[in-house]
Amino acid sequence: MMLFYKLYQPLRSHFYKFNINTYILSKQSYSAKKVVYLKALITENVDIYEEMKKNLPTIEWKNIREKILQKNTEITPYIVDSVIIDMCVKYFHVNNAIAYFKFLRENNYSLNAGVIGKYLKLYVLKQNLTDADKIEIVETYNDLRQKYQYLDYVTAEECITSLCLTDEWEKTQDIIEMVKITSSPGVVICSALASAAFINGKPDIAWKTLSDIVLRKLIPQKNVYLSHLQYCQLEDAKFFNNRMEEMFDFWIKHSIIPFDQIIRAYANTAIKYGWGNCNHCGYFLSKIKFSEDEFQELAKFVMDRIIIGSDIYHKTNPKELLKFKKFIENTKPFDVVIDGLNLTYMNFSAPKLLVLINVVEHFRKCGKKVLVLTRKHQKKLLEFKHVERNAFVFFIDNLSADDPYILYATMACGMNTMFVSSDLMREHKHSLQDEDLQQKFMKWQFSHQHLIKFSATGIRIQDPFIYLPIVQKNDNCWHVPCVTEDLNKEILKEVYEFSDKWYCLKYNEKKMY
Amino acid sequence: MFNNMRKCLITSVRIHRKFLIRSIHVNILSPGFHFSNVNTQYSNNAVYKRFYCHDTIDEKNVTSAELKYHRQKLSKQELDEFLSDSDNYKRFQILELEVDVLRHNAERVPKNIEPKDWLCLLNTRVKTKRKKYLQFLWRNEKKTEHEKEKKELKKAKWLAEKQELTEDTDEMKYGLLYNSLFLRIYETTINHYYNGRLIQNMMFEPKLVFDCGYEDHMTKRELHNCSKQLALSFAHNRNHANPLCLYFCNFNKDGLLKHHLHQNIPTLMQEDFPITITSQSYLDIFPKNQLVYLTPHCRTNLTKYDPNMVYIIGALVDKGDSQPLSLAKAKKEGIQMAKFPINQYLTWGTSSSKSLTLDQSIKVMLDLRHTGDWKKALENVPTRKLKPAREYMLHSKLQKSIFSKRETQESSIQDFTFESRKMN
Repeated sequence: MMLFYKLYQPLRSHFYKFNINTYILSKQSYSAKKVVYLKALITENVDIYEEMKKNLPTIEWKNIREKILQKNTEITPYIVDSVIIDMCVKYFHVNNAIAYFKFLRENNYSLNAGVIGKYLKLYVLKQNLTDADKIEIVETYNDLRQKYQYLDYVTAEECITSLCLTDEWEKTQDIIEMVKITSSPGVVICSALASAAFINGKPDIAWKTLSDIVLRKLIPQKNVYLSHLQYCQLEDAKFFNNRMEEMFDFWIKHSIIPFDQIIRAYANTAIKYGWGNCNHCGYFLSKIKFSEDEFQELAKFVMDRIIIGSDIYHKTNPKELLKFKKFIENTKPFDVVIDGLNLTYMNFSAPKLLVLINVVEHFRKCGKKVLVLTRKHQKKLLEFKHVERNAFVFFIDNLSADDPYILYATMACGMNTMFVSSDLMREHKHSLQDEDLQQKFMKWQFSHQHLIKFSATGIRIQDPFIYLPIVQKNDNCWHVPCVTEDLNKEILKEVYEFSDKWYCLKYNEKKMY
Repeated sequence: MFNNMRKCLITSVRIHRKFLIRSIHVNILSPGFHFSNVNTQYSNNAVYKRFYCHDTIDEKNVTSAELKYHRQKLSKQELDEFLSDSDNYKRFQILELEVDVLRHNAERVPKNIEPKDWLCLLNTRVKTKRKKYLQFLWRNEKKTEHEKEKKELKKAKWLAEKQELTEDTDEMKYGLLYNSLFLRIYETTINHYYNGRLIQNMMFEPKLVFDCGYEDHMTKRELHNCSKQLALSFAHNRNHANPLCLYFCNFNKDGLLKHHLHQNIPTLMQEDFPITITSQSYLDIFPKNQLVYLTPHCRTNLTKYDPNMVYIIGALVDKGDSQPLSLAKAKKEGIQMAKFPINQYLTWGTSSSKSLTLDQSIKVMLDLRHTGDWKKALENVPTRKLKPAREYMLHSKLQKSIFSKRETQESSIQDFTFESRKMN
């Protein structure tokens, strides 16, 4: 006996998490990207390293430099300076590294742009900067620019991150323009600029750079959010609310799901300003809505880009497509479209077609009109008669892809038709190309796909999402889903799971007045 | 036009004359010079080839070193032209600084960068990609350095040995000082032998076509690999006991594929080179019902080798996203399709791709024809893709990741040399 039970079950595909984790495990291997392996170098030159770590004024840098050059054949005069700085930084002796650089400069060693860049980065690592340090950064940068007309990416990145800590942070915009000649500025550069802009009260620049990175599907660094929080707190409570909601709106616009650490920081600060947790979490999420135009546009692009693509012969052939279109026109509308092949081959241990027959019968009992799409080779199976009795069946050529047809059939029947498949259709989503369309497609998929799952008691049909797992606001109450940070960053770009962690924030007006 | 035709005729006659010398074929060839079935088919081939070679006669007799030098000069010119633009020059300066900075930061950067690599770097818009490319160049540079070192060591050793032998020690010496009774068989002789055999085979053996029309669907790297695989498959076919007659169809003579292939096989453009290379499609050369396209995406298995059929292998290397291109092409042209019955004979490992390289697939075809036994033929599929090897690999990887810490500690202490064990 097969048991069906429909429960509101928010978690989508548990196994997806596991897959990713095993992947990380198998990828774990040591790869040295540099010519010199620092750890080995330190263990080989323990005496020199001990001398390096001593109190500042007593160190004889000249001796150390020569000893390292003599003792290690693989270290050339080219790389000795950067290696020594790296050795100092390895276990956070930042001040010693700074002292070494100053020694080099005073004794007129020739300084390469790379070494100067490394020096500037030391101040980023040092964190609590004094005014003297800030002046030092700006002066070093000016000297560097006098020496070199242009800066390369690596040095530019280090200049930008250090300059953003000073008052001259607006200079960095010129450097970014220069970076754009050879490559597009990365997350580190943009995050540094955005956080500097927030701290210095220039939100326009910050929002622009932020949306710039988010549009390229990159994830901003944590320091941006922290400095945004600082910016929120610059003035009184009213500003705080507006500014924080600005960030939430930004998350909605780009459907970003923040890390829980960040949202916790926001929540903790918000409590000070009279925000509280709401008690009705989960009940007032907004339902997924589609306008007719939006839906038609999506359907058109699915036809053009997923089914036809660059060459119609890749997925099907023109004759078959025509035949299928005619079939749909004559028999529509359906309530449910079922991916026959996916359900047949999901579970090898169960007898063939058992799952499919049961699912079809289930929907039949609910009074739905069912269409099953499958390939011609399944016609041979005897049990298939069962399926044909209960549902409309269309047989696709053995050489054609079936997923695009399922998407098309579901969309052609209108907005209320659902489809059943355990395929996440990521490949097809990707071939939509356009970022905006992909988001719409995902929204549609979330709200129209039944997933099939096996459990100890039988098969479970999981209903589509009624709500969208993104940041949203209802009646003055913000609902923010979040993810724990130890997950691989890659997953965050594509969330197929309904987050199980939500932060809900409500502004209590009574408290304030 | 007329001249061209004449040239074709002359060469085809010249090739025939070569055959006439061979005593075996005199009987077959001489009676129906123009009318025998086999013969016309062959002279047809010669004409295809002649038409094709018509423009590239100057490239006929070159060595690979000459070709390389020529290409270097060309890319240097191209770079100079590219840098004459001031914007591009600015970019070049920035990249030069980038390379310098990376070098000073002890990253893996090669000592000198050639013009063609500069061009590649200038066209890459992503920093990490450039870094990876530099690493790749560095690795190549190191490899050649090591090889040179090894060679010199070997030479020094050899010289020392030789001196020892020639030293006058007032004793009688035996041996021939590496001299031999037998004539040395040079590589050119071996080449001649194999090529001659292939030319004979071209008349009588079944055909196998490589469809080289996928150049637009491959990246530069993939094209490079593809050309290497094509050269390898030619070599495998030549050395096989029972070679097939190869055709390269839809071949673009100005394309990058030809560039690389010519670099690998400098004699490619010579008129007696035993492959038929043509820009024509296989549809123009063979009747449609004799063609079978071998594509992994179709659902019919190849059951046995049929010598009356002409099998087509798509010369396609897809490392990135794989689209069923050959399936689409065969479907569009209405050709029969088949795939190797891999699932019937082999248990495939999880998560290893089911695509074979061109040389592997031609080896399968050659062995299938020679033995008629699928098991034997599918031995050419690399074992690392199969289930036992895959499981073993996963197992060892898992162990490595679990025990990696302990191992590094132990290895520094324990000494497994014979002497140390004797001491204990």
